[in-house]
Amino acid sequence: MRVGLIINPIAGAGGPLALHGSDAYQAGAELPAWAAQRAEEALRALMVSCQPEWVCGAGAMGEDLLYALGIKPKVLGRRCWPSSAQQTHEIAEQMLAQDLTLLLFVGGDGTARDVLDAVGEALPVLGIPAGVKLQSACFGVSPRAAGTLAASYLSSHARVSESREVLDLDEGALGQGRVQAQLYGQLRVPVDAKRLLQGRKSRSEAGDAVDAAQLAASLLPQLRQGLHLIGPGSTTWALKKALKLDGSLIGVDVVLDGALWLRDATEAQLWELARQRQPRLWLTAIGGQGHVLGRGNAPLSPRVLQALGRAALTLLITPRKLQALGGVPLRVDCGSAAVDALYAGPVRAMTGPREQAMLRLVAA
Amino acid sequence: MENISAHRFTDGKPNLRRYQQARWDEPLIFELSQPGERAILLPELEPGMESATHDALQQLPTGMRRATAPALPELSQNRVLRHYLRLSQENLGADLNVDVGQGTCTMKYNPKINEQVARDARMSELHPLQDESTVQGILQVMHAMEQVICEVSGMDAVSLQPRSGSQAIYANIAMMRAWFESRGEGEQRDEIITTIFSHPSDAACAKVLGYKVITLYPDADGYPDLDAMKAAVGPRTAALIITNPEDTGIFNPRIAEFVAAAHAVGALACYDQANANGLLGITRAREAGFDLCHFNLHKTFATPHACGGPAVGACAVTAELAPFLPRPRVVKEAGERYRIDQGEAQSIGKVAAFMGTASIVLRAYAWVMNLGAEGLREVAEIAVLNNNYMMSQLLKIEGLSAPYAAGKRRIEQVRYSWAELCAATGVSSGDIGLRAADYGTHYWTSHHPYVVPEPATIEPTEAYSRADLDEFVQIMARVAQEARSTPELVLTAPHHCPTKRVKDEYLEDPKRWAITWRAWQRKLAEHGSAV
Repeated sequence: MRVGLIINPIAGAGGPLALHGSDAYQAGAELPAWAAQRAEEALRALMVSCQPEWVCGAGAMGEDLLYALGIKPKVLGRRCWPSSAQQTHEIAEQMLAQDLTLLLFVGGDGTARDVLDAVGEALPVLGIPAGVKLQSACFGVSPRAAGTLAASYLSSHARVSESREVLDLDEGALGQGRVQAQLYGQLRVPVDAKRLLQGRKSRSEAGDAVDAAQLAASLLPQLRQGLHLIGPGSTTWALKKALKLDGSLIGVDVVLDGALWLRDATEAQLWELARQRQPRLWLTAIGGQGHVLGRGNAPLSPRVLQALGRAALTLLITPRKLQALGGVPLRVDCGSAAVDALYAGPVRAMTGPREQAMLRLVAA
Repeated sequence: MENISAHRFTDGKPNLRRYQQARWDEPLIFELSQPGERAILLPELEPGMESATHDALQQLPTGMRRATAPALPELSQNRVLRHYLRLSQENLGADLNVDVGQGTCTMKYNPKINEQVARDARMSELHPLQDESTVQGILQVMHAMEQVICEVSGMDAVSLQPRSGSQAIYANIAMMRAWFESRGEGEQRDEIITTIFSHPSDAACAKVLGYKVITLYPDADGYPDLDAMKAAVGPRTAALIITNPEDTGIFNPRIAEFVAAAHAVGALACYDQANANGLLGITRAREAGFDLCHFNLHKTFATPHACGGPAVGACAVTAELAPFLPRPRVVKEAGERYRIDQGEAQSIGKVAAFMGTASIVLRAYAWVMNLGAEGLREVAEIAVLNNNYMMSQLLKIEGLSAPYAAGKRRIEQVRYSWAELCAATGVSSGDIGLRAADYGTHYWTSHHPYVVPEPATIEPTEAYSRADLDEFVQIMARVAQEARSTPELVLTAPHHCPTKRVKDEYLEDPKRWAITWRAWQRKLAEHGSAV
């Protein structure tokens, strides 16, 4: 049994810089560790019960990690840095001829689209979440979950897979103030009986905007005073709209006494603020997926979250969004198990004026 | 189409019915109106009568007299009767269909003898302003019914004044607020905790009374999350209001721990007993530690539902909360005499005029006295048996599931999910309900939000026979089969009913509907043919 592995080594690197993707990331001499770390978490979970033969991309695209884990893989392509989407595409294409049982890729929505272009539905694939944007329905809810799902798929006799959506941010809708994903196609993904796969991000419905606006209006008195970090998403954007701010739909904005102080702040800027002052943090969950941390809000790094503390968090979620989650728990997957544990547990979420829901944040 | 002879009990079980609802193309009654036409012609006044009575209208204060006569339809009596009989035939009424699909409403047979009792002149001709010495009979009945509710709930005092279940919930929350105010904690305690599968009126009434509402969601097994409850309570908590079993039909075995968590922070615990039909004579609010509860007489106690007639919600409380009950109250005095007491100063006051709906109390009392204590318990046992039999049959249908608590029995209802069928065929639970009407049965999905995807709530009470239940199961199985073989048939249903599918967006657009003739005329004038 052979398993393929493609790591997009710069996946997630743009997040802390508030770049909303890593295409614009200017690679330095040093390799970012994030994607390899996420891949390692997944592989360790997989290898608890499964020892397949490995086929991987050269160098940082898989070879280095597998060697570090004591595995000698078959290597495709040539070592080169920085890597590009073109390389992901080429290696994925070569994977088609490798008689694979499953192809694992490490990255975000952009990587999923590269894999989709090369592989289509010819091969079962599974995404290990490491990108900045993770709206597609082909990723595990966390690297560990992806590894566990891969192992159970590989060790089952039936090996049932299903088609799930590949989505990426719709830039056109973003310009009109809506966070909306565009559908690019489908990948064949192992069938998940234990909710280890994240759902595709669901679109916010029109009625949702009304609910969010009512909720935002009821919170205005609190927002007009003090320092606030307001995260991305259409629900939290209602806060920015209620304050009449030219805020970012997909970034973390800093608001001081009701005025926009920093739009689309970087991790470094948030770290300074979190260390020196005591801002409140306003977040929502991603519709359809339930992630509160670790999806689309990369500037909120583990050290920023640690400094802010759990008490700073106010969670907003509209009733329709909650309903669309269909009992999926809210998840935190910020990249540090310790910080995830700090934020995990029962949480009060604002769902409307004078309405709250007691929900549970779970470390993914 | 199958042979019609195959539609009746050919193998000891009912087969699918061929059903066609009447369709009358009946105009609105205002459109039938003919100027000058009358149902009843009153005789001319005899000479002398007019001078004896003078002009009665002149005795009314000027400000209360209409300047113009009301614009009522003018029809002969037989045309009025034909009109309403035809409309009634275009309806899936309670006495026409097996309405177990109207789950969580506790549809059960309303025995006709109780209607006869309530329509007896000794009840129907009473007036609430009569002197209490002349209404001793109904006061005795109301007092006795309060004792019945005390016994069923374990509580100390009862008010039958609220005219609906939601009004009883409102009254209970108002009592809790008054109780906290009497202790100087009214301002501090501004939060009420409930669960997403509890009766939705619990959250709604709390909000109307100014409280913040905190909703608990189910854990993986479908029980309300106890850890979330413990995390939610605090010095601001006024009360827990919870239904048990919830609308999933799952009984919360840790209910006493929820009550204890509320009491631990000085909050009250209020039991919404909208789903009490499977619990009569088996569990009681008092033993679970609750301070207040309410029952819907139109559900559990077999009186007609509201919307089809006035209802009664019964509030039951501990002695500590009794001074806050709505007033007036019925008080028993020495010598079997009953008195209408204006109640305590701490009372929350009136939630309905006079004593509430006395004739409904009489119907419920007649039902209870017919059954006796053992009979009430048997009601619960049969309701639970029917529900679990039905669940075993319904879950044989491919594409239908009962989320949560897999393998466990339910109490008196189940919230099912058609999510699998919907994913496979595109046919939603709402579509199934519309197609079920083609087989002559009523069906309801669930309250919003749909926490259970593509929900259906089925509650077969004690009033239905096994043959009734089998018939309903067959209808569901047939519609599910149609969803796979001929989905268009289901997606365009109903086909055998007088009203075709109404687009939801029309219902959301006030320009497109009116509930009175006058509003319809006005909207027609304003919006023209778009209506």
